[in-house]
Order: sequence, then C-alpha cells, then structure tokens
Amino acid sequence: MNYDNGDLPVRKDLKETHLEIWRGIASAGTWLDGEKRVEIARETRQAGNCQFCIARKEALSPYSYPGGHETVSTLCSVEADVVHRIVTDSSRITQKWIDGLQEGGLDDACYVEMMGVVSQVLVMDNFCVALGIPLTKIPDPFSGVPSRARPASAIKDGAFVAWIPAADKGPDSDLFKSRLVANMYRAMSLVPDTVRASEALMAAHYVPYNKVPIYTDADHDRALGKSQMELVAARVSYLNGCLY
Amino acid sequence: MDIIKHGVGDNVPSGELLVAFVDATLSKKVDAIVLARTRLCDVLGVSAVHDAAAVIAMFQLNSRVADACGIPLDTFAEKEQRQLGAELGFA
Repeated sequence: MNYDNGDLPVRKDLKETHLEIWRGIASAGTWLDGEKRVEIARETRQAGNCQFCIARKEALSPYSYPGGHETVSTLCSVEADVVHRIVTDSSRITQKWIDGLQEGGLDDACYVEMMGVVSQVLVMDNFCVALGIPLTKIPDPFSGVPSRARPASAIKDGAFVAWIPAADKGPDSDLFKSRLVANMYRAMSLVPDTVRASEALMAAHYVPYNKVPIYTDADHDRALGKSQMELVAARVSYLNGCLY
Repeated sequence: MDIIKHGVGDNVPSGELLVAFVDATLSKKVDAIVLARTRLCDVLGVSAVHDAAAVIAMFQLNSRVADACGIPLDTFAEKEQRQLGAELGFA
C-alpha cells in the first residue's frame, strides 16, 4: 500500500483495515480460491475503462445491447460480465438476470462472494483516488481451499439472493448480535465472511451498520458532522442510481 | 433535497464543497479531484477531507451491494427512504 505517499495522512485504523481486506481478497474465500478472487480484483479495476460498459450504460436496456467486455483477467465471459455490471451498472441489475446466472451454472453464493470482492476493491480504490494516493498493487494470491460452507438457515425472502434471517440462532448468529439489523447488513449474509469484511470497512470508514440509523455526533470522533457524512453518502448513492 | 440533487441549498455546513468533492471523485478526473479536495481542505481541514474520502469510498460498496442484492427498504426507515427516493426521482 502507498498510504504514506499521498498528499494527506491516512488514519492508522483505516490503513490496518485495508491491509487486512487486501489479505482477505488474496486468500481462499468460502466458494472461490485466492487466484480467482485476485482475478476478480483485477477485472474490477478494468471495468471502469471498458468501452462496452460505457456504451451499454447509455443503452435503454442493458440486457439486449450487443458486444463484449474489454477484459484483463482469466475470468470467463459470464464472470467478467458479473464484475463489470456490478461496477458500472449495478442499479439495473434484475432478479431475472441473477436467475439466468444460476441457470447457467453460477451459484448464487458465488455471485455474492464475487460481489463482495468487487465492492471491497471499489472501497479501497476510491479512497485512494479521492486522496490522490497511488492505487495499491493487487496482491499475489495465497494458496488455500474454499470452505464451501453455505449457511443452512439461508432463505430466499424478499431480496434477489438468499440471506440469513435476522433472528438466526445458527453458527453465524454472531452477525446479528444487534437488535437493529438493516437489510444492507444482511444483504451478503449468504457468504457470512463477506458481511464480516464489509462491517470491518464500515466501522473504519463510517460507523458500524447497526449504528447508522441511530448515531449522533456525540457517538463518533470524525471530523465531519452527521449531516455532512449523510450528505456525502446520499450523493454517492444518488450518482450511482441507488435508492436504498 | 436540492443539496443532494444539485449540490446547492439546505443547511449542511460546506455542503456544496462536499458534493463537489464527491462528484469529482466519482468522475475520476484528477484535476477536478485535486481542485475539489483543495477547496474542501481550505475550509474544513485535512481531517475532514480524509473522512469525506472514507465515506465516499464506503458508499461505493453500499450502493453496489444494495442494488446487486436487490434488498428491500428497511421497515424501520421505509417511509423516509421512499419519500427521499421520490424527491430524487427514483420512484
């Protein structure tokens, strides 16, 4: 990481969290090995430069637009499309498209894990871009075997993908210690370690997920007030076309 | 809601500068980012720029995950979120 070479100093806890997240990306996950996860990270960086994505973003329907992605990784065309679509056009992802992925052999849990890697890379890269820090070199993969553990309690219940009920008492119940469980937090619970990584980032970057609806300026030591942080968050979501 | 949509109005301190920093960062245009960052730093200081960058980055994850998982609005905040969405033109 190049966090000591930017124009502005970077908080220690944030540096440590990013280091840990990069290590996790390069390690075997629940369904994907380190090599695949690193390829997803590489493709995430490429997606923003893909001319097909830029053109498709302007199309009325992204699902009938002809062409192919400009890729840099060993991902197959379906996997590359998942990565590029999440990066460049996530607000137009549909249940039908995800169902099609599953019919084509891409398991819903694999999709969630891919989404986790993509979004984690976006966090760390956008932080660097904003502060004028050179992007971190994508690490070499570590060896290891995915655990392939699907939460037994995961159900399809209102979202595009299965997730763990907030009242779950199973092996991953540590995810839901709080009485207030936002859907944003549960979203990737089909792959619990992805939730844990997001929570680590959220705590270092903003406030923990369960505090978002209730925190006040007395609860944090950030240099921005709540109204300012909420404005920044809302503007990013607005520009990304996200209602949530 | 003008402050979110257009970067003007409302009463968030230095709201326009914060919105300009978000817009510049998401544009990936280096000159615009440097300019917006410098202006924000001049008014709110280095730590505020750092923390704004952190929130920008985090919501690149949150907005992607929310849309890519198709999660419904939370029941405890649904009314407010729908109202905000309508005002922003999402609904």
